[in-house]
Amino acid sequence: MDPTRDDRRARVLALYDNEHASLVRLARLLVGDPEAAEDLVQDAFVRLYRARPALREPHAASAYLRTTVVRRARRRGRRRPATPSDDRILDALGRLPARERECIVLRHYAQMPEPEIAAAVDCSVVSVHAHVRQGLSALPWLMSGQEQKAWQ
Amino acid sequence: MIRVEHALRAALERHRTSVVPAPDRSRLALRLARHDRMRVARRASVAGAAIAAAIAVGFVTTRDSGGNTIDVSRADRPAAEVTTAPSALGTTATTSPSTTGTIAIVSPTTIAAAPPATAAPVVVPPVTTTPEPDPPEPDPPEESPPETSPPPDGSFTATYGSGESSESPPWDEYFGTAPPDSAVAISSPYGSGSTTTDPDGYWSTTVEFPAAPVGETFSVTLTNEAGTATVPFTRTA
Repeated sequence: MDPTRDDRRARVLALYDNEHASLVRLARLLVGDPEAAEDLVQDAFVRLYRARPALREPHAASAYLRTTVVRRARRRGRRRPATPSDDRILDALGRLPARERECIVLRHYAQMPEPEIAAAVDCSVVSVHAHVRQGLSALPWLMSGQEQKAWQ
Repeated sequence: MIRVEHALRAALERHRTSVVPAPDRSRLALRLARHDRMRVARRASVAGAAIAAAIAVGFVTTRDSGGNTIDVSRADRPAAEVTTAPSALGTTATTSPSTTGTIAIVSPTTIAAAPPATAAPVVVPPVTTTPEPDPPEPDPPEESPPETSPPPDGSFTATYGSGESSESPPWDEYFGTAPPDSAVAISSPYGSGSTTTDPDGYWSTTVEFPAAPVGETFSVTLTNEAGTATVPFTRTA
């Protein structure tokens, strides 16, 4: 039986209290713009509120929120380019192709296993591995020459 | 490669500790309340259309102001069952097909049950009191908007929400505020729609863009008597 509307609202708001910060940080890595990141996270919670089955299991709700943020970030990223970051390597990360950026962020920041990343970004596990490797290889080339030399 | 990974992880850790987003819980609560309000309004709209259709094809008996029942039932078709109940925003209703040939409108309308099969329309003398079924449990009271989110001031605002650019057809949700009971038109080269704001000044609608080509960003124009807004849309798959 579906929880009542008030129960569902309370659950979503409680999840928001717990998950908001981590989701906004994740979204900011993906889209750059702080306001766009907050909008993405708000949209994800509204979608979760609509998707009643996902609310029944806290773990499922968290996964649903993260996947929604990633997918919507890809769409927003095409509309609003990520803003430059103070950190050069994060700036370079923001200039990677969307799929490579998503895979790297989910692997190295969210520390998700590759099968979960594959489900979130809608590709195969092999592709996730390839995107991570390609993205990491491209990062030095996207950074300034000085920092690139420091690694060589 | 390993040094890049280490540098990246260090940067991500700095990001984790340095970014402290401020939650906007009241905004989310307002959006959830608005979602419920729009959902109720859509249900009422669908039920209203069903009632109108039922009346149009003669499945129902209506009662005039003097209490006389006007029978316009059709004997050769199954009828539908329609129930309505008051809610915080007016009337909510549900419909379901039925072969019993009855339509029971509970409240607040005055449409009454129709006999399942009569050869011709019959005018029934004034009806004695017909016991009405208990109304369904009303919806829970609407959550009051947080104090930090004042009600709309009648200005036109528009934004896009939780659509899908990769579905077929792609669609997006648009919502905002405008003067109460005013029309909002959404137009674009590949899809259009319209809606009316509710008495509180909120509006929301979804528009599909079935003919939109993949990868082309086009403008969606939202027009109201109080202003115009333009937002982009790109079909991604």
